[in-house]
Amino acid sequence: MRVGDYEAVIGLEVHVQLSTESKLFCGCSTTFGASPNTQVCATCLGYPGSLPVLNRAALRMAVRAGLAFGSTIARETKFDRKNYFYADLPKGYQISQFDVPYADGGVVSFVRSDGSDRAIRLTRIHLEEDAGKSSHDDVSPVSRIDLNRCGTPLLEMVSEPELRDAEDADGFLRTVRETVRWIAVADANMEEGSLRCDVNLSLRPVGSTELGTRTEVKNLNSFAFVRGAIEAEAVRQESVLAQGGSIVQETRLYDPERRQTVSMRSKEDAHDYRYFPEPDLPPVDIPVSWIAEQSSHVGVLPSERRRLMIANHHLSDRDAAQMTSTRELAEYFEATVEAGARADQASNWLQNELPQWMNEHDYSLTELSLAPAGLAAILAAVDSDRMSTATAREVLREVLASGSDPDGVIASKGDQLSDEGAIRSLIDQVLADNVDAVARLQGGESKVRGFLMGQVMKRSRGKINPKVANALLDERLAE
Amino acid sequence: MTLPERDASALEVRNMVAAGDVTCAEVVAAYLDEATRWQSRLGCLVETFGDDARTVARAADARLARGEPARPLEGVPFTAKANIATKLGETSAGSAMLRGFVAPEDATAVRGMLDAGAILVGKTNCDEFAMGSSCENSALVPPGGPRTTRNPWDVARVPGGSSGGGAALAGATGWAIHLGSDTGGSIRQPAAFCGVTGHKPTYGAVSRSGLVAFGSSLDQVGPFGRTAGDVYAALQAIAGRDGLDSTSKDIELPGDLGSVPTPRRIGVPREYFVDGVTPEIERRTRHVIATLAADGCEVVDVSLPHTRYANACYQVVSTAEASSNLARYDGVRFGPRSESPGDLEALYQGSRGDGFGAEVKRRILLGTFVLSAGYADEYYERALAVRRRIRSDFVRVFEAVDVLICPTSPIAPFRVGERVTDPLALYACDVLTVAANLAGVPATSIPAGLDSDGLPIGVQLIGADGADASVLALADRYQSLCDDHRRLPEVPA
Repeated sequence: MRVGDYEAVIGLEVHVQLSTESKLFCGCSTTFGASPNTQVCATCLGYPGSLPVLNRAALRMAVRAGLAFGSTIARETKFDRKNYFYADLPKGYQISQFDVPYADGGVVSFVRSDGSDRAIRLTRIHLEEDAGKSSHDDVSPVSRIDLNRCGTPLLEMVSEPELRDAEDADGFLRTVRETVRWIAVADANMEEGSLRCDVNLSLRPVGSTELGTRTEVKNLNSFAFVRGAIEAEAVRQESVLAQGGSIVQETRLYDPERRQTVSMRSKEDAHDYRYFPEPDLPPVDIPVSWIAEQSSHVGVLPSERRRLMIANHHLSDRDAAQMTSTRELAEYFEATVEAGARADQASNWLQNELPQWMNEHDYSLTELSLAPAGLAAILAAVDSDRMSTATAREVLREVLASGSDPDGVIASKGDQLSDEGAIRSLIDQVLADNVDAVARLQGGESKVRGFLMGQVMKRSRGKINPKVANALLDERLAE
Repeated sequence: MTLPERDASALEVRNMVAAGDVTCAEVVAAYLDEATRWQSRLGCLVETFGDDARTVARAADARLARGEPARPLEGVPFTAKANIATKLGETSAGSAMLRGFVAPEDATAVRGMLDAGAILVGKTNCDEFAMGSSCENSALVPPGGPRTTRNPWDVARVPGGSSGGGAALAGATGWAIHLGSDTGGSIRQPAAFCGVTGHKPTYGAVSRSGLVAFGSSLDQVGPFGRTAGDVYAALQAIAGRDGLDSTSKDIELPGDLGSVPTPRRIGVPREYFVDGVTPEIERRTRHVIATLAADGCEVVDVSLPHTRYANACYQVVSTAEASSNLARYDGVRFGPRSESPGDLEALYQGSRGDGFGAEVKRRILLGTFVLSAGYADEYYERALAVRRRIRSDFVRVFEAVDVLICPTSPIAPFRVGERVTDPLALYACDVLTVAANLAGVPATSIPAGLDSDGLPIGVQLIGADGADASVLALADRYQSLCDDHRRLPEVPA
């Protein structure tokens, strides 16, 4: 992003709450939205004599996330104490990872709106415990502390300073969110605070390769705020530099109402975190078996699946994006195609007929009794003209509602009549019963043809293949 | 009823209970009487659980009457240091900061004692947050006793510290087990000062769950007792891997101390007979070595060259960890809170300013400093490097010998008030004990007679990682050759 004579250099620190059942170092529940200070115990309250015990499920999920972003997973990792006083940090330190993060490097790839590919490198990912939540009353001088969140497992993903503008940040964050949801390690809801972002931003003269002094804008909890903060901070820094001033290294907050960033604390007031190895937790070996096990949970990521859907199944960008909106949908789609359905048809039905029924009946894809092979069978019946689209919709609804075998329903709903001999005799009957109409048609009243066709369809109770019937009717009338 | 002799060991008491010679209720009642008599002179207990202990004793007697087998410590009275969590009473760690704090759970070690049939009779005094060598840093005033805890051999002198209360009571009485904690010598030095057997287990052998943390990588809970056998039985009750402490581990503790082979190769580490060790203490230590040599032990001179850096290393590591461990005490969730603070900052400053004593503040400041940006490399990181050297010294020396023997404390118990104004002189007392904590190895102090002033002298046995049983087997062997450990001070009038 160019601002005046400068370009922005941006790095992100993204915090992702892992969706474990229990906290990182104790057995407390992590459910969001419980009454304040009800999901706490001696350990997460920092009672004297309490000790942390690592939740290995959290480390497993963290490893899965590291693999999904292509990070190198450490064979042995360790935890460190990050010391600072704050009311929502009961122990006076946060258990985090300092010099041996469990995951090193990695990359977050996405496509910009102009179609260009971006690959932002990650410096590292580490695992740490979340702090509690403070809420400050604007009116009375009261702050409230909820320690339910305290001890919840968090991934901190640190990017290299390789982003250039708000769109990069947006793409980065959306990819992170899509990926962690895809591999089922996090909900990543910015509004619930389970995905949070800090922005590090500096400016440098266009063409320069040196980094300028950066500021950090902390605690951004919506995509709009991330974009707003980047734009506001870049403009602010440019105006300081343009007036011959210099940027102070500091922590800032974003005020979305005024669309400005405001100073929170300067470098002089910055915390000295006094990191040291957490003596209560011995170093942790990450078993080699976890790599294979967690890789299998990662599978093929959505960006790659989209590429394959476009290349192999000739889906449009839009349809491919739709088919990868969730892992369940993508897998359902691919299985349907695998079972013989045409890709465009499968995509169409999975965007229209199925969601419509699921919305009406409040079902999710995973709750459906209809297997992908069943949907493929229905679509194949339409594709081979054995059934009209209208009948297929009925079949689908019946199968979804009753849970019965699609093949049976297809058979009982009656195969579409395509037998030419049978259709011919039906046409002959209709023409014999409507001699007047035939005469009017031959007299030049062409709209009567539609009436005759309607009669043919009616007599067949809709089971006739209209294409075949049309052709045969024309043939018969031309005789 | 036949009450055990005054100098009876805990195991002798347990065996009399098991044999039906005496009931748990009788033992507990008599022990509480004895402890109360000493309390007015020693001020060793900060709380006594008379009613609860009697109730538990009656229940134990009822179990035995039903024919259930006696447990390994059935009927044995025990106490816990004030920094070890008990659901009964307060767990104040000797600090005003935790006055009134009631722990939600028993420490794992306490549960181990209770499960073995021992009966909790009280909590013992200690230096605040286990920081001290004299028990003079406690913020607690022992009820019905002197202002500070005293040495049973000379009430003008300190019992040592930080586990001074438990050591003093152990020095004055038989029968019981007393749980202490040892970060840099806090079990062994008071054991030496009070003439009892005290054991600092291998790091991790006993769960730290429920121990108020001081230096987490150094802290261990351990027992005081009359004999090595008592200490071993208590260790068996409290040791073992615990799901609540990730640093805990299982060590080999075979069923009976008698079945553990007595180590035969004794190392005499030259760095532990340094200037500052009084001639009498050195003489008594050499006497213990000679006794064991006469018993057939091979004696080897060895060297642990990095020992001379151990005290400096200990001061850095222990204070660094303490500065972090003590950050949680802000008067908000537990402990007394500063009255009507102006704002949050003032609340923290008020609560911490009032709640912590001078020694604790000194160590928090020191620990914060050694971890600070710009100083951490010079102090904390260097201390970690030295610690690795100290540890490898021990690993190397234990390839050649089984147990090291040296003095526990360089000096005899000093007078109350004598060193309280000179922290460096107090820190110097730790010089012979801190290395075992830095290396994580087990060490026991055993009584080795009295000096010319009639004050106890302790000798330290140090073993390899996990070799607690060997160390105690050697202590047991020595105790079979003499009766130093049977001596008790005169009963107060």
